[in-house]
Amino acid sequence: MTLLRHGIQVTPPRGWDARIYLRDAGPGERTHPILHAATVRLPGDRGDYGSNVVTALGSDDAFVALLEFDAEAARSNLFAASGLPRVSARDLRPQTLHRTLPGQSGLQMFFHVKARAFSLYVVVGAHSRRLFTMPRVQQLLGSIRLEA
Amino acid sequence: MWVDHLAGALAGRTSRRGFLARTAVVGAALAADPVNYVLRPASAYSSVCGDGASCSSGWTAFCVTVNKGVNQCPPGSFAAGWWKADHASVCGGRARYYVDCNASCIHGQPGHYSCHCRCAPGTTCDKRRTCCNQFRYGQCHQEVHCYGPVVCRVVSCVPPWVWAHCSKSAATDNRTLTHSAPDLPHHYDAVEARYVALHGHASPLGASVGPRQSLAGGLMQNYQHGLIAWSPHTIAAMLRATAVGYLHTGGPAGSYGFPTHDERPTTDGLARLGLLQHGCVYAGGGIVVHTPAGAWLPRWIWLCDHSSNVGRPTSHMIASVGQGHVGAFQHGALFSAAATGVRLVSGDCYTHYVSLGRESSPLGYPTSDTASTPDNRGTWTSYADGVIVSRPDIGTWEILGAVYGYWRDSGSFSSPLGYPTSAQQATSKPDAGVAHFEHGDVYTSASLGTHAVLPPLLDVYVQNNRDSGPLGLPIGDATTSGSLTVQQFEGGSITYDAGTGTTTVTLSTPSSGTG
Repeated sequence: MTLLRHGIQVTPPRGWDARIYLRDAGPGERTHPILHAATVRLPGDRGDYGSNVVTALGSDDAFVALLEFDAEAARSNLFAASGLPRVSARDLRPQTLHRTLPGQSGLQMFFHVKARAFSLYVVVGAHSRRLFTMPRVQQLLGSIRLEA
Repeated sequence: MWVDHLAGALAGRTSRRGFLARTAVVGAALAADPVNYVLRPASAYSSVCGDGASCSSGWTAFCVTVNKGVNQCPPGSFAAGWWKADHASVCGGRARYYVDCNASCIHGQPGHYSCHCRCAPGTTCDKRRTCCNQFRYGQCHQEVHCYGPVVCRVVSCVPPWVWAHCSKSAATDNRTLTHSAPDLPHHYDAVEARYVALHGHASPLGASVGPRQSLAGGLMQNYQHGLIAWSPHTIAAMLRATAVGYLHTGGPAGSYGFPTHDERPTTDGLARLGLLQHGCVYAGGGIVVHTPAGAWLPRWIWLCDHSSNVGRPTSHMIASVGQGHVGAFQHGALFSAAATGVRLVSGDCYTHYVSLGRESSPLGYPTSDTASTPDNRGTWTSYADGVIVSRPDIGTWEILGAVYGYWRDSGSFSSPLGYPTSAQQATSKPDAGVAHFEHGDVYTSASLGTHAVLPPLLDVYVQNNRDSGPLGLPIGDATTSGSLTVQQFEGGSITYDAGTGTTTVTLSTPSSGTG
């Protein structure tokens, strides 16, 4: 099943739960679409970078978050990289985590597609199993299309 | 106070340092969440620091924990991104914002930064990690490409785009709603509401420093550039430049009480004033002074507001002799005593007053402000038993006691004597003194009284060696009858005949002279 919302398209491989959502903006804020995908069921009360999801990851599980930012960010140094990154197991680091949990590792990359700025964040349940997990993540990422 | 007592009792649920640390945490727990802490099986740490406060929980510590109590990114880090937790009671039900401070890359080189991964140090319950999680929320300082791990988290009830270089692009993580630390506010109280109204970190106060303090029935919070204090009887008032002076007085627990207004600029815009329940603090020109409340306070404030008059205050208003109070200014001083009122002595009169010993001198406290003389040629200040008169061409002199009374009763500046030209001086007689005036001398003696010697008799008196001569001291004022003016002295008299213009000295003894 393909999801397409807010210019983000994903076709989750078998075994992945995926959501594309846009939070209501609070006073003064701007909100942007977020894609969450995980090999576990996504709870409703999850944080944008995976709180309440990453704690549920088993050794062979993975969580992916793709967050969009303001369009102006696309021209900034932080988002200078162009195009959805190609990732590998070598990119995973135990310290590259929003919240460090034992055994897990992650990666984070900022990039832009045309005038859209994004952050890609990936967590795998066990760093020791990353060579197994990463292909599943790559398969998911390969299904993502970002409209300009 | 009940928190203090209860904290001591409950801390018993185990060295001195450990006890003090536990007591502090228990006290904060009671203040933060008393019902839950007392009634539910939760530790003080979890009540104060919230979920996931241990190092192994994987979360990052708050900046107040690792930055000496300052709710700000520490040196070597920068605001790199933010998120919020909705419906935070500590923010009055609105969102609570968290700003990650990521380590700055040294010389822009990835992997080079000045911190290392560890658990937060000290006895705090916020044992979360610092400089471990290589992660970035990404909405702040997007011009900075290189970053290290998150050093700590700043929290605020004010959106970060208001006070940091961040975009409004929101991220949410309600899981962190209960995360806290002892040095962060645990209630949306009057102090926090005021701080938020001032735009938090963007306010002139800057970041909070240290915990909320319960003092004297009210609350106080220190910030980088001042404080906010509140009591049930006063507003949550902000002090900045005057904060140090206020704390010097003891703060809310001192005798000056709580601030009653926000600190304000003086009318002349040169300084700041902090108005307190029982006093006032002045800060300006590199000096901070204060005064307790008293009869002098309105005048003291007025003088601070208008420093062009006697300059800035240079001392606290302090108690002095005779239950009076004195506060010095650059060019004068304000005196207050029950018997003499609130008086300002300034200029040359003040300088002379100081040289005499000020209120400790025989003049005592002033009974008037320093004012211009009737002919506007000089200035003068009156005292209970004396006066200081200043005129540029004749100098500044004090007149005391009987001479002062004589001059005053003669019409002071309107008298034939005119301005004093000397202080009282000794004479050849041990119990007598003399003060010189523009147009005469006044002699005073305990036994002979106080009498002036005026021209033209004075010229002859001088020729006859004044009191050292055969005439001695005057024993009465001159009297005029027809063309004759006569004045009696101890050793004779001087007579002036206006008809002939002659002056005659008549001595009681055979020797005599003529002017």
